[in-house]
Amino acid sequence: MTRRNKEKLIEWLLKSSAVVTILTTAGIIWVLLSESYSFFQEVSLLDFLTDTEWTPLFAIKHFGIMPLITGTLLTTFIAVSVALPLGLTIAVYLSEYAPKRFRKIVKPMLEVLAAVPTVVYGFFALMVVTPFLQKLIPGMAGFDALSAGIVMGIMIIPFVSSLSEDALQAVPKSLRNASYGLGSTRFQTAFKVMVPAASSGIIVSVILAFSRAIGETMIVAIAAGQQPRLTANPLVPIETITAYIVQVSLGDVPHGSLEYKTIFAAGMTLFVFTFILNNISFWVRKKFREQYD
Amino acid sequence: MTTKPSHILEIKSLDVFYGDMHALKNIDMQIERNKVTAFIGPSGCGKSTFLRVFNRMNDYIQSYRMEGEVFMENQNIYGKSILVDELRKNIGMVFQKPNPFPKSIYENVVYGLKIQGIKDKKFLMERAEKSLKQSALWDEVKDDLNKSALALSGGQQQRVGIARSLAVEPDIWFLDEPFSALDPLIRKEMQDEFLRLQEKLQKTIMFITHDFDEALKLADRIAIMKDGIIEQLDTPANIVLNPATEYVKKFTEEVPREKVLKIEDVMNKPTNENLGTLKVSKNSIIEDVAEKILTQEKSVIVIDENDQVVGTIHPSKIINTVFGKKNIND
Amino acid sequence: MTNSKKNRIKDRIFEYFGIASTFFGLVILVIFIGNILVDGLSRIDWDFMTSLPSRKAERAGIFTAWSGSLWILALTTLIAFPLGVSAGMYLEEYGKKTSLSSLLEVNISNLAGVPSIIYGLLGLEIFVRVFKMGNSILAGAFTLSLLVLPIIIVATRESIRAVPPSIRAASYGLGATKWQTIWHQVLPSSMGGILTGVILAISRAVGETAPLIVVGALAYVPFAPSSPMDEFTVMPIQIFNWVSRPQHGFTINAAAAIIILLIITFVMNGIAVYLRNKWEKKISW
Repeated sequence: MTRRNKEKLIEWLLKSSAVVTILTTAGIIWVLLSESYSFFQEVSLLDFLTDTEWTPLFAIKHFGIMPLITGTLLTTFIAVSVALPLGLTIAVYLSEYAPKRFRKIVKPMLEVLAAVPTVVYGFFALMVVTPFLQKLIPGMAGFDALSAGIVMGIMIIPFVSSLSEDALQAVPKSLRNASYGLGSTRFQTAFKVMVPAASSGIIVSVILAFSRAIGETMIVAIAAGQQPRLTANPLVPIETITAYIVQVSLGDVPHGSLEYKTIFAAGMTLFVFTFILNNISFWVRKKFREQYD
Repeated sequence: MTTKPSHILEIKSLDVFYGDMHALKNIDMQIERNKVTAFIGPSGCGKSTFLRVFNRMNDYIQSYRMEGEVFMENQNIYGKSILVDELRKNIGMVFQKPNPFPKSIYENVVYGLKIQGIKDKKFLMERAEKSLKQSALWDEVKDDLNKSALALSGGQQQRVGIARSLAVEPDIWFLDEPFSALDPLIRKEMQDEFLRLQEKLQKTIMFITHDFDEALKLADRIAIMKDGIIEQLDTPANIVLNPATEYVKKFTEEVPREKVLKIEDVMNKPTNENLGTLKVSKNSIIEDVAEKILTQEKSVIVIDENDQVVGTIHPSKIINTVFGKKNIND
Repeated sequence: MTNSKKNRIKDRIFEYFGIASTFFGLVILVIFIGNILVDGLSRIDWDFMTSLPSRKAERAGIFTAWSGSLWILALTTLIAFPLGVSAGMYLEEYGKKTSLSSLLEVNISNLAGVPSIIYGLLGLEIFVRVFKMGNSILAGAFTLSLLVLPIIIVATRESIRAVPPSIRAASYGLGATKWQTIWHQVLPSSMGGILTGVILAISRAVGETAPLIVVGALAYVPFAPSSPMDEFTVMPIQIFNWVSRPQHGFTINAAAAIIILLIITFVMNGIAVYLRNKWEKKISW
C-alpha cells in the first residue's frame, strides 16, 4: 500500500471511531423513540401525562407517569438541598479562606466522594441513615425519599463544590483585591463580590448536580422504595423513574409486551429531563462566558 | 548531457498573507546552488516566513495563503502532485530554539532515517556517529547515546538538532537563527564548525540571523529584508560598498570595510617595482592579513589559488581603505 | 455592636462553618466505611472469595461476581481503549475546525451527561436484541464501553494537547508524515495522560450497576463465566442483590463484598492519581 493510501486509511479509521459517538446518540434517540412510539400506540399520551397512578405490573393497569416523576423530583430536591449549601460553602471556603496547600490536599479528597460506587451509597442509605432517621422521626418508613435523598446529596457535594470553586477562581483577582482594598472582610468579599461574579458558573454547577441526581439509580433503587406514589411526603416509600426501570429489568417481563415498553417510555421521560437540563447549562455557560474573556 | 541550472531555488512573484497581513510582498529571487545565503532584517520582516515557504512548513498555519510560484530544481513545489513529506526529506531544518524529541540522543539523531524506513542498525549507528561529529558533539556524548536529549544543556541540545538535520544528508539546509540561543563562546565555536562543514559538504544553505557580523562571516550572499521585501541580495562586499537602498545603507553604516572586503577588491595591477617577498592570497579578508601587510615597507604580492600572481598591494592602500575616503578606486 | 465588629463575627462564623462543611462529607464517609468494616471485615476469607452464591448466607461467596467483574472490565477495556484513543486522536490531530468536529464535541459533552441507565436501555435494544448477543458479557462490555468512551476521549485530547508544537514541527521538518509524527512522537508523549484516563474509566465501570442490570446481568448466577457469550453477574449487582434480602447474614455478605469493591475502586483511583502526578512532572519541556 502506498504511503498516501495508508495515511488516508488511518485517517478514515480514526474518523470512524469518532463517529461512533454520534452513532451512540443516534442509537439512544432511536431506541427510546421507537419503543415509546410503540408504547403510545396502546396508551394515550394524555393518560400518560395525567393519570395519577402508575401500575403497569399490576392486574389493573394505570400508566400515569406523574408518580414516578414526583418520586424522582422529590429525591432530587432533597439531594440538591443538601449538596447546594454544603457544596457552595465548601467552594467559598476553599476559594476565599483556605490556604493554597489546604486546598490542594482537600480537593482530591472531596473527589473521593464522587468515586464511591453508588450501590455502596445505597447500602449506607438503607442500613445506616434510615435506621438513624427512624430514631429521630418516629413513624418513618423503612423505605423513603429522605434517606435516599440525603445520601445522594452527599454524593453530589463534589459536583457543586468543584465546579463552583473553579468558577470563583476564574473571577479576576482584581475584583477580590478591590474589595479588600475597601476594607471588606472575607465574608463580605465572598458573598457580595465573588459569588455574584461567578454566578453563571455556580448556576451551571447546580444544574449539573440536578441532572446527576435525576439520573441516579442505585441509591434510590435500594433505599427509596418501589411504590410509585404521587406525594410530596419524604417519609414514605416512593419510586423513581430509574428505580422502576431496574425493577422491571430484574423481573420476567416478556420482550415486546406493553410492560416491557413502559421502561422505554419512562426512559424517554428521563432522557428529556436530563437533556433539557444539560443543554440549559451549556447555554448558560456560553451566554455568560463573555464576561471575563 | 544536461547541466544543472546554477540556481536551485527560484521564486516568481511570491506574495504571502497571514489572513489580512501581507507578510511577503512580490518577491522574485534565485538561490544559488552550493552557496550560503544569509537572511537578515528586523523582527517581523518575514525572514522565517520566507524560509518556510520552501519546505512548506507554513502550511500548518491556518491563516497562511500564498500566491506566485516557487520552483525547486525546476519543479513547482506547490503543485498538486507534490508530496510534502517527500519534499522535506531533502531539506534539513534547524530551528531557533532547541527542540529535541523527548527521546535518547541516538533516537533523536536517527529519527529522520527511521521514518524513511531504514532499519539497518549498523547503518544508523554509522550515520549517527558521522552527524554528531559534524555537529561537534560526538566526543561529549559518544558514551551516553542512550541518555535523554532533554538532559543536555541548551547548546548541546541545539547541536543534537543540527546532527538530527544532517543525518539524512540533505542537499539543502535551512537554519533559522541556529546559534542565537547559544552563549557567545559556543556560538563562535559553532560558526567555525559551520565553515569547516560547508567547505567539505558544499550544501545549498539558507540561514537566518540577526547578527550582521555572523552573516558577514558565514555567507556567500546576504539578503537584507524589511517589511516583507528583499531590499538587496548581494555579496557581502557589494552590500557594504554599494548599498541599494537607504535602509541597507543605514544597516551597513557601522560595518568596518576591512571585515568585508577582500584583498582582490582593493589590489592594484601586477608590477615589478618596489616589490617585497611577502605573498598574500587574493581571497583573504583585509582584516585577516592587514597586520602582516602593515609590517612591510614594500608592496606585497597577491596570488590566486594556483599560486599565479594576480596583483600587488602597498601597505598605504590598506591604511587608506581602513581609515580613508569612501571612494577606493584610486 | 459596631458594624465592622458584626462583620468580623460573621466572617469568623463562616470560617468555622466552611471548615465543618468541608469535612462533613468526608467524616460521614468515614463513618459509613467504618460501619462497613465492622460489619463485613470478619466475613472476608478464602471461602468467601471462592464460593458461588447460595440461598444460604453463610455459604454464599463472591466468586462468580468478581470473576464476572474481571471479564467485563477486560472486555470493556479492550473495546473502549482503542476506540476512545482513536476518537480523541482524530479530534485533536485531524478534524480541527471542521463542522464535523464541532458537532462531535457538542455531542460528546451531551453524552457525558446522559444517565447511565439510559445506556442500559440502549444496550438492551441494540446489543442484546438487534445484534443478538443475548444477556452476555459481550453485550454488557459494549454497553459499558459506550458509557465510558467520553472519559477516555477527553483524557486523550487533553494529553495530546499538552505535547508542545515544537516537537511536531521538528518531526514534520524532517519529512515525517502526519501519522508517523503521531505514532512516533505525539502518542508516546501523551501515553501517561491517556493511561490515567483509561484507569479512571475502568474504575468507573467497575462500580456501574444500573446499565448492566438492564442489559440482563442476572442477580443469581451459580457459575463463573468462561466465555464472552456467557451470562454473568458483577460485584455491584451481587451487592445489590444481597442488600435486598432481609436476612442479616446477607447484609454481612453485602458489607464484605463492598469492602472488596471499595478496595478495588480506591486502588485504581490511587494509581490513576499517581500516574497523573508523575506525568505532570514529566512535562517540563
